[in-house]
Amino acid sequence: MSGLRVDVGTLRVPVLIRDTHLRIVGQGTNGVTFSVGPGRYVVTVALPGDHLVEEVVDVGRDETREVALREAVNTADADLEDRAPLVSARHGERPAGWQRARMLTHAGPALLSPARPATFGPVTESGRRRRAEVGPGDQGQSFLEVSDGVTSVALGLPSEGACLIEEDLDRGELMLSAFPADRNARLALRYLQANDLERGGLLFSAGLRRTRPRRISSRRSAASGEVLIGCYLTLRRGYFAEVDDLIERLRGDSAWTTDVAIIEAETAAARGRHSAAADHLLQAAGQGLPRYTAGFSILVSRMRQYAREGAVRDSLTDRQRGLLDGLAEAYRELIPYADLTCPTTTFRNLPHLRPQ
Amino acid sequence: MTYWVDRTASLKPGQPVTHALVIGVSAYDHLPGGPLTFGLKSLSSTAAGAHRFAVWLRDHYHNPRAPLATIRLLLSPTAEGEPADREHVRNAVLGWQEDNSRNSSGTSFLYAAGHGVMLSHEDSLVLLQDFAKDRMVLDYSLDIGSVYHGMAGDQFPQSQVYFVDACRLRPEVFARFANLGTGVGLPSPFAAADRRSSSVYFSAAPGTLAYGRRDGEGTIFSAALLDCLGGLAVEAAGAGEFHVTGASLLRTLQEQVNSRARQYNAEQYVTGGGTGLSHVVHYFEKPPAFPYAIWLDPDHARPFVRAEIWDGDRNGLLADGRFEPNPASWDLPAGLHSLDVIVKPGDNRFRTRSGVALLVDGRQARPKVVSVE
Repeated sequence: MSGLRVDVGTLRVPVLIRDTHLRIVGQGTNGVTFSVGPGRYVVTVALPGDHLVEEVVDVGRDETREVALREAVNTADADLEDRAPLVSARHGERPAGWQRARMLTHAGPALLSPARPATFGPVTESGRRRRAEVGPGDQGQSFLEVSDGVTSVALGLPSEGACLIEEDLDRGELMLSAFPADRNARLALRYLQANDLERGGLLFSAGLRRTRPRRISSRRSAASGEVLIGCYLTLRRGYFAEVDDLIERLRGDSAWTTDVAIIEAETAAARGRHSAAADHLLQAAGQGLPRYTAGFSILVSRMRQYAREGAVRDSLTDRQRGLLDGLAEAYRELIPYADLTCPTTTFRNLPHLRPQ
Repeated sequence: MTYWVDRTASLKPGQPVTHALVIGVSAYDHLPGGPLTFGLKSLSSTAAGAHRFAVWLRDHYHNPRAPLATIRLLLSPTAEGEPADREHVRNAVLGWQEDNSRNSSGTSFLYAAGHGVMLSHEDSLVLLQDFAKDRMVLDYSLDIGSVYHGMAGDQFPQSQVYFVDACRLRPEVFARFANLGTGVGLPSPFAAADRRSSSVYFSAAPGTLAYGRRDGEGTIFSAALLDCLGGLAVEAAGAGEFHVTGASLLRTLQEQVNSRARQYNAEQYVTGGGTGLSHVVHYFEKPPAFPYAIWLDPDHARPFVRAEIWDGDRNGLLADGRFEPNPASWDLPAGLHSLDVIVKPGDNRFRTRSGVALLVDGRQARPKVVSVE
């Protein structure tokens, strides 16, 4: 039997192997040897945003071919590179043009109240992107608000450790999005952002899910952040039992309680257990906003569903209905300001955050 | 409600089918003007885009597992179909749900275009023709989230596709009328479990200027969508079987809409929602063909060589010819093919190339360079 193996370095990426009819004959991640018969194949590393790195290879009988795509993968997605030069801002300074930058608490719908100034790690600039590293710090301070004096953006920070804030310099307004600093977690989040469940899901079906479930301590939040992204991807694919397994690994990590409660709510709702789902939603809302847009989207969608008359609403208790109605009212003004194209929960120009 | 297309008589009773509901609003009865219209104006291209999608469904949609049964079409202005006002849309949505309630192995499509706002990845509102008829302005909207949740359950199609092509309402505008009424939707049935595969595509243009295509034939989104369904989003499933899946459509549509909007100096993104495993949206009766360019190097070899392009198994010749001009372009079916560049016998200046791989999938950005030196 022959084999194919893809080398892209330390990054874990989805790999597809197709035959001359373009039928998929193997899919998984790099690092795995795909068993194939002798013949010609298209080897594809499918990066988020439909960026494909492809190579056609011929495999001989009893030959295992290693396809080296490390350089091509790094070149294909500039976001995967970390070679940007430093710009003028020093460690701890706000990047130029950011007139206000502060951490926000995220507790409850009366949220995003200022906590303290944000501190920045090294600031880099490359092409049309400027990156700043931000350390979210303590619990309850998991949003960052930035203003250029005209507009404001408030966005969730995806990790208790360092995360990257990326600004698109070509635009006239503040366009920020936050990603984990860890490359694998960042890549997974980009699949989630693009709703590319098929390919993003490969990262978790082949990697994390296979490992023995274990709880993750708060000191390992960077890893748990990746597991959480895996939860969202797996949830959207409809693999609820596997979501349950992944959630078990996040228990005890207080950084993600809101997101985990929302994932549990959606899992229950999709199983038809709406009363349990409502309890999880209320629990989530009491703890604050989810950090990921996927969670905010679920929260809004289910909240609106439970506010509508019908059999599902009738299945809830009076107490649940009352609390959910109050919650819907509290979120009503917030919802239209959410930017659902961003990976982490992001609000643009919320009226009460506008610069005075 | 009358169907715009009704093929049920030609289909076997009880077989899985496709039911589609297409709604496009360009002309608004009460815009501009009125105290609760917040400066909104009628649009130019949304109804045309919806109409083009309905025509594509009627003429080109191919699904042997669930052939097209019906299309309900509601447009404003109304050249064909019915008006896209609250009364007609409400009847159409209920009728569409009813038709789909015995179609669990089938497919459903909902396409809605007009002024709108996205609330979550599955939830949005599209304003209907009689929006702002009275002060409960949102009574005259379509609540996509309500429709989406109302279609959950094992009795409904387990393959569902939603397209929302919206001219984005400004948040501060929407926030002012968000609680003024309830959009047209569906009652949420108590579903034991939601196991469907659904795809939701939402595209919001930032404003009317960037919204319509200059040729007036629909929107950036609708044009990109039809090109994707026409072949750009093709995936191979088996020997000779090519289709578009929910996932391949999203990936390609995101890229196409974004790149086309940039030509208008605008930003426009497609956001994907829905759940479940990827499902087939459209099958091709034969592999879609794409132009494929090959550049012969060096150019002065042109008179002395010819090209033969074979299928991947080298069983069938797909195309042949000379490099006139250089690069030369051939229309080739999607697939991984094999190119031979054959040098005239006796010419020792160049070398014949055999079995050069050609990956044809509609993505070719630059000509394939083949050297015979």
